[in-house]
Amino acid sequence: MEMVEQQVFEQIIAVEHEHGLHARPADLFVRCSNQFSASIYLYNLSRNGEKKANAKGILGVLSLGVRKGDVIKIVAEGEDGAEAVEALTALIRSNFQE
Amino acid sequence: MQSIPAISVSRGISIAPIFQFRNTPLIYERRRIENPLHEWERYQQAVRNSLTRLEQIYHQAVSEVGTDEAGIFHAHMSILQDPDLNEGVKDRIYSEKINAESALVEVSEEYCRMLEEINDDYIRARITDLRDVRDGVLRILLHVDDQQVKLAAPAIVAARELTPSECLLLDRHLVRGFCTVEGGATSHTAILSRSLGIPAVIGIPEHLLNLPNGTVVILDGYEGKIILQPDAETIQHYEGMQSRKRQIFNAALRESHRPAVTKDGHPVEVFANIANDNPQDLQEAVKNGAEGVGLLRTEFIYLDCDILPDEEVQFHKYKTVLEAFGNKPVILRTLDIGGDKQLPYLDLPYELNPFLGVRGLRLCLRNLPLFKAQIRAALRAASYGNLYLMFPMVTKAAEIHAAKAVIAECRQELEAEGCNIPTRIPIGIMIEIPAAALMARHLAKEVDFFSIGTNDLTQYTLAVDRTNSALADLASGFDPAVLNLIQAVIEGAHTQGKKTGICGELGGDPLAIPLLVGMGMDELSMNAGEIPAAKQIIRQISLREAQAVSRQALELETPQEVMALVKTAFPFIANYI
Repeated sequence: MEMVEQQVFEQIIAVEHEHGLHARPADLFVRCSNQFSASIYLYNLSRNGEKKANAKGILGVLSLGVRKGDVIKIVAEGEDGAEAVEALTALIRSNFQE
Repeated sequence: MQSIPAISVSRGISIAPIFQFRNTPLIYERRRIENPLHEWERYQQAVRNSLTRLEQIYHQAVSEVGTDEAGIFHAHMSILQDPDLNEGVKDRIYSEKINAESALVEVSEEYCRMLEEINDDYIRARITDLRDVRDGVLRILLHVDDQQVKLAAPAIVAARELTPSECLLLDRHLVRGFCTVEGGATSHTAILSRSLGIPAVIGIPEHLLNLPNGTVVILDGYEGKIILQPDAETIQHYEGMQSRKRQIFNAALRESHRPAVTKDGHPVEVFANIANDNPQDLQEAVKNGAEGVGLLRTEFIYLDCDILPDEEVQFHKYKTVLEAFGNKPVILRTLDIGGDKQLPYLDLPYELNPFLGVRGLRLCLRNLPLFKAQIRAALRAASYGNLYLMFPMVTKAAEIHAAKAVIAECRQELEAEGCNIPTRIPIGIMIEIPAAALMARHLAKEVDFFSIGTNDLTQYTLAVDRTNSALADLASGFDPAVLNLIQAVIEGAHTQGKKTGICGELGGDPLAIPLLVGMGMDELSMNAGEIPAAKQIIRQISLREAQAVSRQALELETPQEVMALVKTAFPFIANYI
């Protein structure tokens, strides 16, 4: 059987929202992730860089404890992974549409 | 009569009967099941029903409290749809062959424990949300009806803790107050009660939950206490206070946009102290009548981060604050770290006496890359508003020269990079060190303005560590020694035609206001909530009276004498305390 190499897309970015990735921003982030079929994971490089969370679940995202100023890494694997990373990065850059 | 201390989370006074809010206990057994598929389907059905219910609550909330406050129920829907949570429940149903109730509680408690490890008020509130969501599903699984809390008459609601959905089940026209055993200043009950203007306290003792319904109590959301079995006299006292506070506050707020001018025509600028870039707080300051920002505590940016915030992060935050205030002055105080405020990631050497050590501008001048990142961020943001720069912990003119050289260097770099920076940015210093206060007339030649930091000026003048609670009664800004120094600073600035402001706690203290105005203070900066009252006080005094009283105060011996003098000279100020 032929091995299909999954493409992996990554982005490192600081979260500047007052609430970090907690209240409404966390909610928007999860909603955005769920629009893509790629598997999307999140790391909080400013705290415990080893811990991996599913970006499609609010509890995993909250458990990273992302506060304002924290730097996170978004990793997406799958067909629309590039678009997913782009959309999530844009969401953070827009400071969650505020 | 008995007075029970609690923590105030929403100001106000309420006199009403207690209503005990009790949750119907959700009782279930951990039992083995034969058919995991059936159990998993039963769980999924309960989640779907719960989602429908949440959507209804959300729409109700939007119409009752607005989209912002209702957003919490959106978050609840997200929790309910969390793939990891639901997969976890499924795994447990299949692997352990247990009922859905047990699987849900066990999996959700694992998440609660994980979230509890993050020491953060927001996350703590989310744990309450998770349990709230879980209980919603459990109620459906157990066929327990949603609790219908019908308040028949106005009441103060007592509970161990209230979840957001429970708060909304209550008829808010009848709720006169909240008191809970658990919770925090950022819990939903606290936020909701503030947004609805309902007084609330937390941290009440357990035994208050045993008070029978209908017991009349007084909830004092100013002092943070509950009074049991109040006598007629106390009730009368609080009723009087209630209507007076209401009138006074409303009157002050109605006038808050007008400038503060004394009866004899002397204007005083009233500014806000700002410690974050939260848009709501910035708007509140403007609404309360802030004519500018007298102190932007930039250390909040550094203290909130686990790693050093870079120029870009700072630029965005300064820009937000400057834009919120338009053409009103925003005095940005450069990083004031050291003393009791430390940054873990800077790894600074241990000091035996940090309050007398490398702090404020001293620290910045020894860590130029750190200082330059902040100055560059501030200069880049300057064109978005009316920026003033101010340095903390200055002792000598040489330090001002060095700091100005850094500003000039950053300006040059940025202009070379094509950045457009306003030509004139006023530069000032904090006066916190007695040496600077004594040399004020010389230092005034070097800067555009002064701002007196009375908290530090008090501790350095009286040699009282302000973090040492054993000496708390000695550390008063009303001490005549401190007032004499303040007078010298104002006079020193005025001989050079420069303005002086104040940004310590004293600036917003109703009793201090006539003294400060009398001594010639040009600008008072304070917490946003104190502004409406401060402006009203200024309008009710004359400069001439204030000057006479402050001259007398400077001759007194103790802070107590000074406060008594002001109370006697301006009895109306008692209304604002």
